[in-house]
Amino acid sequence: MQIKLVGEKHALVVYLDGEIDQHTVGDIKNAIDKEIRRTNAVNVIMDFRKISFMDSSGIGMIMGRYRTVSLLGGTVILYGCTDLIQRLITMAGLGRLIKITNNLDNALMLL
Amino acid sequence: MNKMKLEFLNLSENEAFARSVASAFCVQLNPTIEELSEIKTAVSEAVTNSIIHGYESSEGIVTLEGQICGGAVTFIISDSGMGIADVDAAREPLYTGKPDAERSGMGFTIMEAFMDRVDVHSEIGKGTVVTMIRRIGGE
Repeated sequence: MQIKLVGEKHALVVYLDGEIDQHTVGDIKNAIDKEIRRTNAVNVIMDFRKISFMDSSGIGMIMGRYRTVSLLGGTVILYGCTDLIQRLITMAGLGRLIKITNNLDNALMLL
Repeated sequence: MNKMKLEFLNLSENEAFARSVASAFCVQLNPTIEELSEIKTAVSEAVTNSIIHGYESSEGIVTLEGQICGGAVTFIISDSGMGIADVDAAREPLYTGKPDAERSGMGFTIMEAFMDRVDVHSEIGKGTVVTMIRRIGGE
């Protein structure tokens, strides 16, 4: 996982890879939260292109980050999700809160 | 007819192991990639429940059994942990036994969405058995 700051958009771009489950989700949460505090970013963009699997642990992780940044006036945007991951997000009602798009350029344009 | 049984310690690193075994076991039914992904997700939810809710922080064994009969696969995920006091409440969307842990409460909802049938039997102090069935192919 890599995290980059896009300063003019106050956005962190989180390049995720591998599988998101209860075992891996803790490190992802900690890394993002640490970078939010360090950079004062208010938006989190997650790159899901290299995520091959996610279960409800990932839903909790996205909800938690949304809760954090929405209090700061920011938002969460995902791109590159598989159809199945998009269905999980919709099922959890997260589709009304976060934004989903197809690439980084479009994600940045939403901010 | 085919059967398999896997026993493993309640370590979170075994979640990926268990769902990979479940997925590999299904392959003999020629599922689509989508069917396999859905089954993997449902199994991951049940195994995660056993690992984090069943045993809390104590050590225990989680069992994953698989059966193939006709065109359907059945997975039985069981633990000998603390059990669920109110199974109907636990199956409600957004219910979580750990409100502080950033859990989504979507585990059973996802299992029900991705499997044709999900049965839950739980006894306080004895453990929980989740049985899930999915027909492959067909309609």
